[in-house]
Amino acid sequence: MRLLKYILSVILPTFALSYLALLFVNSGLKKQQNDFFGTFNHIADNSDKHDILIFGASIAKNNINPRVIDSVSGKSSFNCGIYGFGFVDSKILLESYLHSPHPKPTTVVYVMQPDWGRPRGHEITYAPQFYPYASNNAVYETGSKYDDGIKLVKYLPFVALSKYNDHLKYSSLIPFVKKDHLRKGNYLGYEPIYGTVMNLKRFENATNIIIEKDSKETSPVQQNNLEDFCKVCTDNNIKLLLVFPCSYTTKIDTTVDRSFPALHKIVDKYNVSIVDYANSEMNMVKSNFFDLYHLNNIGADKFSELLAKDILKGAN
Amino acid sequence: MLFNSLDFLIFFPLVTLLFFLLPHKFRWSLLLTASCIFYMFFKPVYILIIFFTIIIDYFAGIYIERAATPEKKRKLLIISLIANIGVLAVFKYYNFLNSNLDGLLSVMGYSNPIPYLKILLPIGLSFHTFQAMSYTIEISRGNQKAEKHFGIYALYVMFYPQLVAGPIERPQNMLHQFHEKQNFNYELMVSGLRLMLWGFFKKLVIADRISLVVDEIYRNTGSYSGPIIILGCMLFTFQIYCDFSGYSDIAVGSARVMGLKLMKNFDRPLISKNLTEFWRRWHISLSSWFNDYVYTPFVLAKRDWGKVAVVIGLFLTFSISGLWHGAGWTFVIYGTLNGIVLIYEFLSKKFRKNLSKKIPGLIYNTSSNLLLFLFVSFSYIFFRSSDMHTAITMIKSCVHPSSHSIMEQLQNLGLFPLFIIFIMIVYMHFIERKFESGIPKMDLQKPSLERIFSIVTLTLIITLGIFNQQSFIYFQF
Repeated sequence: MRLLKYILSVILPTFALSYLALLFVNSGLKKQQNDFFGTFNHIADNSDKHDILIFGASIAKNNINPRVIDSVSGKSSFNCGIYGFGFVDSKILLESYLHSPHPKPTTVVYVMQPDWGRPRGHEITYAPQFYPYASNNAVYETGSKYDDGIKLVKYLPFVALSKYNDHLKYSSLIPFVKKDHLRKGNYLGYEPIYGTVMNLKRFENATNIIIEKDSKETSPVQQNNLEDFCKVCTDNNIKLLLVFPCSYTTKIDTTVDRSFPALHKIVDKYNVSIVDYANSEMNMVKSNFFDLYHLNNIGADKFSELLAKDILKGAN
Repeated sequence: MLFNSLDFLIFFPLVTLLFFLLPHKFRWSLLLTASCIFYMFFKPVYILIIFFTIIIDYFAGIYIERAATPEKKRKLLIISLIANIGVLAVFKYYNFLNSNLDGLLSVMGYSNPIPYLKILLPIGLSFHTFQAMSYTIEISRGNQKAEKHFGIYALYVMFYPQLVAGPIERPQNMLHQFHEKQNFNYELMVSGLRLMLWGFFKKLVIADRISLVVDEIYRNTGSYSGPIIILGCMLFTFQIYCDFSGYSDIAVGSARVMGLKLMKNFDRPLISKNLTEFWRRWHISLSSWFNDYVYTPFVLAKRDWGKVAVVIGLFLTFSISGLWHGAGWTFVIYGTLNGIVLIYEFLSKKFRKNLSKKIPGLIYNTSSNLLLFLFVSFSYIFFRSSDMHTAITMIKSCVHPSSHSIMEQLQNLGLFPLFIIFIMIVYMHFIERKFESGIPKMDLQKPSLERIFSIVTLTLIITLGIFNQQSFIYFQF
């Protein structure tokens, strides 16, 4: 009995302290305005309405400027791109937006990776990022299918801190120590890359770079994940555009078709549009690029203008 | 089974509960079964190796005791030692010796016909083999009676808390405890749990966190400049201390919970002022093993040689000790370096004593401690490096410039984790200084303070621990 009393007298205050620490960390993460947390906080909690949402990995986040899209299209857009994100992560973001009290977007743009069909090995890019939002239904429903940590964190919140790694703990402190934590130039989720100097050696000296035709590799898991994403859009009457963005090439090849045979089945089934910029003249202008797949801020503005026009066409 | 695993979180309370529920006569069988399960979590088949040495040493012990003449005792002891060292030689040193033979023959223009063994080193082999050897040696010296109960003897070798990484126990300390009845003792239970908690803190919060930084520096040596490489080497000293002493604390604590007393393996070695003191405080069970069974017998046998016996004794003992850690030249150099410095300390004892009188105490002690820390960190470059090439690259990199600023390099390693490491090391130092690493006396004096310590430490484990079930460094030995 005495031992039990001792253990309880140690464990209960520990749980309370850990829970307080968790509240502190979570409140910091929910104050974030950039990176993953900024995006998630904006789309899940903010009451701003957006007509166009853009999803994808870095080639979405760095390549598309929502301000240009807004000025060309006259609509409101938001860039939900997050580094390394795939279909499942993006689906969680989209569902979170749809679950919150916003009006639904009219158009969703998904920026496709050139090798989108390749198996990823893990469907959620970085699960701990979702832990602070485990109580969000959209996060829990999809996330818990792929990561048990989300289940644990939802039902045992005091142990969440042990699942959070250093990156999350550090991120949570930023809003407290640095009030102006909105990164320079990071707006509406877009993170431009400044400068026109292409910094990769392979890229600097490249003389013969061509956009590869499809890799023919289409993992069934990736197809299913894409289908799931398409289904969310179809079920909510949202127009979906799958976009293959500009990438650097030294020669335009008009026969390039990056839309994979497997993709066509999905496109037909869900009435999705594909926009491929493989033949865009922009692809040959080196000064638009930061590296093979990432545009710099100048290129991103030009590309966003092209995209905005195509969105208007697609939306109509 | 790893201490820092979910399995152990279930295993430990279950075994402890059953231990106190069972009548005394069945407890040895419970602990032996639990120890077998604990070991078989790693690679089940290797338990046969332990059983092999257990059977040999069990009978060797009985026959040594019965032997009528010292000569016969000596022969039986040699058979037992050959069996134990033979197991080590095959599983740990065979491929190392073969690769050296390979190199030697290729220099002479021959190819080596002897094949390599494709076997994994059984976990903790050096630990339980040394513990088994101490049993037969002590019987032959007449310090210990042979254990007639096979199960109890097997438990002496296999007792799960210290099976895979020590402390390397002596039969005089352990065997009688398995025969005695341990009643539930609240003070021992709480003190054991607290020691385990402290061990987990050192392992999960400090060692495993430092390992992320140190591994990165060793992986990308070329990307970092001299000061960062030196920082990495210093951090590894803290990592290995927290990793190994953390293991020992958990081992000693989990035995203490059941009322069993294991020997103290660490006594704040990093505050030592010279290497002699360091080895008296670091891995005490191994140091005392080598002292009792290698160094002292050698020096006594060659006492006619005077100081030369001590010098050779130190050199040999520490070279062997280096090789005990691992089958590789890096470990031999690690041990030899320590041996050389200890010889220097032995020969310069008078000079250093005189020097200490001339220099203010604080300055002398602080600089001695700093010098020792730098030497220990340097010697651990050989310990940590996978081969000589890596060790030499690391040493050369200590004066390596980098195109990135120090701040950029620190940012790459993570300023926040480095900050946490720093604070946690300070916290560890404070606690171990204030309360001794075993923390037994504080609860008698200030129970509320002791409880606050437990709450804070447990909270730090939950909030800052790294829970990726990283193995303990010394398991490989």
